Amino acid sequence: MAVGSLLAKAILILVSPRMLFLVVAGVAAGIVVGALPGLSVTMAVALLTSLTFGWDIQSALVLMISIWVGGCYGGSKSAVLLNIPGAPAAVATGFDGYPLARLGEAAFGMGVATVASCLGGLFGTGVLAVAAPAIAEIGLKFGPPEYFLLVMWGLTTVGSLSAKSLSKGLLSACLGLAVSMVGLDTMYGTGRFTFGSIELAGGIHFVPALIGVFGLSEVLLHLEKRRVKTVAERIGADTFKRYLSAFAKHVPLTLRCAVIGTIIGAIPGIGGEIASLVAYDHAKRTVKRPTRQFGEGAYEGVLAPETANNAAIGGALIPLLTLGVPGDAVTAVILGVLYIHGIRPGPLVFNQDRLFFAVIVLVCALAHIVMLWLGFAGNRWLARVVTVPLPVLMPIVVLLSVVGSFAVQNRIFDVYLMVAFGLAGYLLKKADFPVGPVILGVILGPMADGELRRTLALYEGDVLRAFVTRPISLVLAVLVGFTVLSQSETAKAIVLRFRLGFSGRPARPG
Amino acid sequence: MRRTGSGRVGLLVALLVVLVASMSLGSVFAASGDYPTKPIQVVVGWGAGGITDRSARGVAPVAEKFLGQPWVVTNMPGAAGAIGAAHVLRQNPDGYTLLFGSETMSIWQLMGLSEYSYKDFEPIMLCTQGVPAIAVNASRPWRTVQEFVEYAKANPRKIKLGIAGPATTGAVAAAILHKCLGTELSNIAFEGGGPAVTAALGGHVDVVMENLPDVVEHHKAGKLRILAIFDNERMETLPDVPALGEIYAGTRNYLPYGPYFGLFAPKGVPAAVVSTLTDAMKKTVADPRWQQYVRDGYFRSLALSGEEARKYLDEWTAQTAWLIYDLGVAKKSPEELGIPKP
Repeated sequence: MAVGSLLAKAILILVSPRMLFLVVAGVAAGIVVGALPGLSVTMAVALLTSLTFGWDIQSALVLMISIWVGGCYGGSKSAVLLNIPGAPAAVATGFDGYPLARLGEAAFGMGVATVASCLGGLFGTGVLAVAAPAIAEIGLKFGPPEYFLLVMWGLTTVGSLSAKSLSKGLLSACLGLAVSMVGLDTMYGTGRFTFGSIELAGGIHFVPALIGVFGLSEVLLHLEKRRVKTVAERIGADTFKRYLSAFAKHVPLTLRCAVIGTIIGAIPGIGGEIASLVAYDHAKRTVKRPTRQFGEGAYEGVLAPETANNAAIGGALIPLLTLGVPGDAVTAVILGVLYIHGIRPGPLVFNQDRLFFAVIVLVCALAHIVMLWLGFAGNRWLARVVTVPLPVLMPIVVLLSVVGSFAVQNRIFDVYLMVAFGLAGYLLKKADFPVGPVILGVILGPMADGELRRTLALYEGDVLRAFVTRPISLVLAVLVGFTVLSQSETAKAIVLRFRLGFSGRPARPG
Repeated sequence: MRRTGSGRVGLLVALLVVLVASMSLGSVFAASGDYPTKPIQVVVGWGAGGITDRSARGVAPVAEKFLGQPWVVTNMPGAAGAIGAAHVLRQNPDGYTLLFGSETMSIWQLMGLSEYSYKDFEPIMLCTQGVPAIAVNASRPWRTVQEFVEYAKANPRKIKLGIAGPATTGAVAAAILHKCLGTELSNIAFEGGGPAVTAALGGHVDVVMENLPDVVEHHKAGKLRILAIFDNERMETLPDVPALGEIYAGTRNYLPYGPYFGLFAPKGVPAAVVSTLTDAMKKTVADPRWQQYVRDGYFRSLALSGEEARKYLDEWTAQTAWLIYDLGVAKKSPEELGIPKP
């Protein structure tokens, strides 16, 4: 079938009042779900499994993808306004988003996230439309050694998050890694640090940790201060001109982050969390003159992760549609819904039912456009949250933290964990330790552990063969090594000398 | 746009929170009269998207029709489903909190995950049994299950098997082969069946022994090759895939092997409630829509309730517990748990 007539058919399916309503409703619901920590897109889509049982498959798909798109972007709202990332993929957004809000630029910060999410998402969708099979093959080449190195690469972001002291940042990350080891190990099911408690055997979920360390600790800090009335006095201007100039300045960066997001999203099992961290790290390294220092409200620090995490949606759909391999938790649930409707995605469906594929691509693009519109409509109104007096806002944050940490696994134990993490985060902040690396450790620890042990089991302990003789792992190993070494003082000194050498002065051997 | 005062915003947010909270807490009105008078919470001890969750959410719309009350399917993942089960047992046994359980209920005690087991529950209806298959990466040389078995015997621990976790379906399936045919594989545990199958697709492991729905599409696409299913008869929907029992008579006693999925009520639920639930579930498993789901999902239908279900569970547990114990991953022996040798 020709591409033109295929598109025409797909458009005809979508341009009906019912479908358009589903897109708008889905994106709106997704934004709410994404913005509330503890409510996840995975859960929202799982609820649809039974709800859409009697629907036609296209309506169910349209609604699911719209919710996913909205949810992926919604996480940035709470990250910017309250410093509580609404979703793990929004952790990096808060690093500069919240300082922006405190500087009285809340509306602009959320606006940058809106535009970036839309651009990244459209890029990812574009890649899905034209290069899905090729990218899917690359994704399958990633085995345990590559996963391990990818996670390590994500962990090198610690350097970017420890503005004041690298050793404190590393300590924070180790704390997170240590916490993440609690529970049953993946290889043998042995309990670690469970103290005989079934609750601890279930492991420590990163959401209560995230909410406690970012959200509750902030509340505790505000309790000390007597003077602060609001997070910020102003919400700042958000005019079209500002976005235009902001993005015009960073076309290459936006593109690079979109590529990072799409590729990492397309690797099965790795999603927006790592993509957004790597993109943030990348921006911090490559942007020579940010508007402000990173970590103090550079809008580039919002642009990068938000571009990447929505680009990861198009990426995650690639293995799902071309191979029938779920790329992350959300795609696993979507796969379940497709099963119920009797569709089993895979190479066969992909090659025979092009219309099904075209509809998904179009919905994905349409949902991102709708997201742009809804996002801007809501931003000015939502941004006022920062001007709410703290005595009103903080109790609401506590309430949200409790509900959010409970909702994620419906366990009251998670609420206690959240409180413990809140106290720990408060103490860390008091002692000037960065809290970002803690969450990094909690999220990435279990993956690092499992993948390393799988690598050792598969290669019978031959680390060299695993990490050096395979092309992708070699590239990744070099990347990780380079990232770590390039941050050291020695490396910087060598680069400096090298440059001096070019400028005519004799370079001393060092 | 009208300017809203900050108080209004706060109020709206608070309202939103109350709304969300009330959604997750369900109805708090006291029940009276005939069961069921309010929505029923059905706990799944696994995350959304897994095979247990998919089964529960597949049953829900059909069962709701016959029960006259909605199911609120709630995921409480952790410790191989034991955390969700512990939650159900902590509630008042009034029939408004049920468990949609899977085969791990039989081995929690063995693996030291929980002091509870399936014996703490009343089986309302065992709906389906999964059918695991031996699926090898298509680039591997073995074309038949015989070739695979011969190679595994001649080259102990050379073949890498991807499993969904310790003591999961794939590990037990491999243990059956080991016990009956003397094969030796080396097990690599992944975080669930999905990642294990993906690793087999990418050729990082040689073989997986996961449930049919997880591998059948890849088989049809020529990326994996299904050599046999763990059953004595072939599937109607996959007539060209041999059953292990037809080829190796020695395995027949252990087959059909596969995880079970079903609805359980905590012990102590009133008898009237159990019979209401059982009647509704009997109608559910006879419903054409559900049977279509079972066929499409490559399951075997069990449809066992009451005494039959208890007998099935006892036999399944005895057989599997000893296999796992022989694997050497069990934390306790089946003997001390009072599980008889099959």
